[in-house]
Amino acid sequence: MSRFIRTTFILAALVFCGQVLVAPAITIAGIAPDFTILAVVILALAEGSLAACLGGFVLGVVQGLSTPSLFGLHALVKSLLGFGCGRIRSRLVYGMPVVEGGLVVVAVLAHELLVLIGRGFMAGEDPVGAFFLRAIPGAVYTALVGMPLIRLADRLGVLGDED
Amino acid sequence: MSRIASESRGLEWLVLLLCAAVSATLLALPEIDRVALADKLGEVLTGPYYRTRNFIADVGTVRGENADLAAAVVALELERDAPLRLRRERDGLREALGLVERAGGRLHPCEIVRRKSAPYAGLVQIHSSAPLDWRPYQAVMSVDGLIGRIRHVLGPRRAWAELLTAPDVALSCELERTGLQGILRSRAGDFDLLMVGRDEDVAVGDRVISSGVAELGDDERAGAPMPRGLPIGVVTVVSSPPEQLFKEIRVEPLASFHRHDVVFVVFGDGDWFVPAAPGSDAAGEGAP
Repeated sequence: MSRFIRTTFILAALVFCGQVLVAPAITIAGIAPDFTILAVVILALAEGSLAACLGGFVLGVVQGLSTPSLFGLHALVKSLLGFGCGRIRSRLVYGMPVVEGGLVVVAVLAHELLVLIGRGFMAGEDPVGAFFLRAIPGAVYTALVGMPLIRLADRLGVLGDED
Repeated sequence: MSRIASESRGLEWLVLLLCAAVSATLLALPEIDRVALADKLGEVLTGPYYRTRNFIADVGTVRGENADLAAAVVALELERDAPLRLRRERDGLREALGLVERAGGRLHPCEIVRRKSAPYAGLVQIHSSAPLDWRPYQAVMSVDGLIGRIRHVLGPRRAWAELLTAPDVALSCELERTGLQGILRSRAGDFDLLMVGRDEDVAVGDRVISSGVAELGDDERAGAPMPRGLPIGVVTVVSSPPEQLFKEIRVEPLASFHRHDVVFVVFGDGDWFVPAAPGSDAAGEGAP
């Protein structure tokens, strides 16, 4: 329980500091790392599907407040993302940056694809161009930022032992 | 063991279904309701953060504005001091040329023994404990400022003094800050400062002092001249009506004209209240 509280606190700090302070400072050509997805991935690796699904839902609700017309979309996608990442965590080889980076890339691409499809369906936006122009560079950038963060979380004992 | 794992897996699916169902319900709401719900939730969840962030940003902005204002105040103070420096230089030159007597004045206390108020007269009779060589038009002050001048000498110990509130009194005055001159006349308890051009620099709060310039007819009366620099009042209202050549300036007197029993008769005609430069002890020697 104490580990869950510590993990939740660290990830809340990660999301807040990352999205509010770090991301605006390291944005390149409008592309910034998505710290909310990183938090869901780390939560999934640390606590499993149940916590990641709930955490993703809460993060999605809060994130959806900034786009009220699509309120609920981020909550749905991040719940699915947390659940999916939690389900495959037992099949991953830990300690390999390529694996962790690849997981982040896949997570971001899946998240962006679902969000773009949802936006296309609800707001009539073209998902294809945004996917290639924003989602792919964003996924790479998020993975570059996320790999050291996952290593750091492992060092801090956030990831812990698999249950 | 497998039963526990199976139950755990079932719980995960249940939570996922619940989250998905809630999300789908939110998405299925009409857009106007969805936006309203997001706004209400935002007030609770993210409102405190945004309010705090905006407050901190406002504090930063105000600090920046405060620094700019402080710089502007310093510049204005320097600008305000410039006329005073020029005036001190001018007074120094006048003194060097022998045109001004700085420290020739003294005050003699007198007691008010009678008052005479009529529509066209505001007179007080003053009594001195020692015989005085007083002359008409000598200045009479209270502790706050000028209140009038000697009008009729009754003897070495008694004289009638005319208050500034008397309707026919017109006194030449100047604004201490700028040196602008005008004519002071009584009006309904306060005073009007007349004959100041509409484009001149006059501000509320400017102090009005006697100018030391003789009025029309004073020379013929052979009376005592009014010393320059005696405090009279403060400017309270300034306006420049478009149809007039002169400003409308109201002056509130520093002295009360009804509540004092002891007044001072001014002897000497030096400049009494010329602001002195820092470190200088020459000016103001005769000031009360």
